[in-house]
Amino acid sequence: MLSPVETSSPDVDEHVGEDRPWVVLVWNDPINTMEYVALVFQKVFGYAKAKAEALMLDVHNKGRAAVSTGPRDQAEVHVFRLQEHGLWATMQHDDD
Amino acid sequence: MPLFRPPNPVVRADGDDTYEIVLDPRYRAILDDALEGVGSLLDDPDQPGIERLLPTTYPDDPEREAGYRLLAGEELRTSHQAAIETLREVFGSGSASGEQLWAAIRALNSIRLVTGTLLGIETEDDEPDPDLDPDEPAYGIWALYDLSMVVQHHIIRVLEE
Repeated sequence: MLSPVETSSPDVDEHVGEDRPWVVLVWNDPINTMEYVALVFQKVFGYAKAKAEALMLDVHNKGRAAVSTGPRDQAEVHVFRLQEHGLWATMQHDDD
Repeated sequence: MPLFRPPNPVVRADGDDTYEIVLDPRYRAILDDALEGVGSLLDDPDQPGIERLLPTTYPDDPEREAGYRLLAGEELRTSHQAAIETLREVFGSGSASGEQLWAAIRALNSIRLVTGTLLGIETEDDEPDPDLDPDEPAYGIWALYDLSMVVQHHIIRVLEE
């Protein structure tokens, strides 16, 4: 006769959490000039000048902008490249 | 597009992906000293003034932040230092490739981030006191903060052409 065995259930929430997309945020820093920030967006993401400038203005006027979304490893690469250029970049889950 | 633009006082195109540095040697020397100083600060990540060069990636998750720092922190410092060394080489040789100019604007931004941090700049409205004594150390730091921005601006002009 089999006796009941206590098993641990997988941490479903944690796995779902890892699958959720990550968003890369750039925060306003008065030290970085507007033209420099827009140029960095063009270089790092390949964005057209108009899109890069629109994102830069979001950073400037709203205090931050979401500049990319995707899996964690991709977001970490983007954050690293932005930080290499001296931008104040962080990442968090999309719905945080 | 303007029909006339004054000559760039920092850098000029000199053929295919080659640029001549025309910045006054006195300003080059000032910036070179600053680059050496920022490079030295980066040798120790706990030095005050370099916080903006090594920002937090996961502000709401200390555990992830610690892991990320372990993996990428050293690489980020090395990358900043490589850009600094590239600009010092460019100032020494008097010429640059397009790729070196990209490193140059990063290195100049590093000077801005360190001097801006030392000056306590937190908003766009932070400006030097008009009565600041030129003999005060802050006067020189403000001058360096402005000089690095002006030089960066002229390099960006060339990169955008």
